[in-house]
Amino acid sequence: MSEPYLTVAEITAKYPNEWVFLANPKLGRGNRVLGGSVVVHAPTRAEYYRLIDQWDDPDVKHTASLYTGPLDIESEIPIEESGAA
Amino acid sequence: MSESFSPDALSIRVQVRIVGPRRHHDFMCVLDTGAARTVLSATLLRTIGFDLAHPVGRANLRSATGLAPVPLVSVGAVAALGRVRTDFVVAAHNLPPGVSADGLLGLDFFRGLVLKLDFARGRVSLTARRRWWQFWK
Repeated sequence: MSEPYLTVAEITAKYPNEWVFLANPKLGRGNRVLGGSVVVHAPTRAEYYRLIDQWDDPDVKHTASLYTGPLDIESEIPIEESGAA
Repeated sequence: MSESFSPDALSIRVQVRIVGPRRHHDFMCVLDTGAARTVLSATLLRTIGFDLAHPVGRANLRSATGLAPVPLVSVGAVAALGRVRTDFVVAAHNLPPGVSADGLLGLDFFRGLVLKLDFARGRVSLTARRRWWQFWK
């Protein structure tokens, strides 16, 4: 893995409003992501997951998800459990 | 230990660390007291080494797209808000499009603990319950 370390500010500037998968992330207080090496990025979560499915690097032992867009746009979480299947 | 959140935000985001067989991952989750069970992205769980083909059980999740049977996975350790749960069962399910989160941190993670949401100060904390003799301290 040779991607350079970027801070969250740098990642946000480079990949605005995108989902970003980071390798070897650096975390701060409250486990907030401070930066990491970008291995996958995509504008939609579906595309993000599709790309992650294709990625693998056995040497990477720690990864993190980051969304660089505003988090308030989509707020509905229409999920409830209806019992064991 | 408490973490900050925006009191004006429409949801409260928390970082949830899952220790997987191959690597650990920090999920970006929504704190959801309306969800009985913690739900995490099936794709990401697979990526960190969980075998979703051999779940410990199954549950039906009702979502915008209908009723979906999803695998239940036992994870060795889940850490969020300064607390760790071991051998914790989560539902593996990719949330519907339009939800900007990798998962939901549900009620099962908070049971037996004290969850405080301070909307005046924008602080969230999860602490152990104090026993009666500890109030003297």
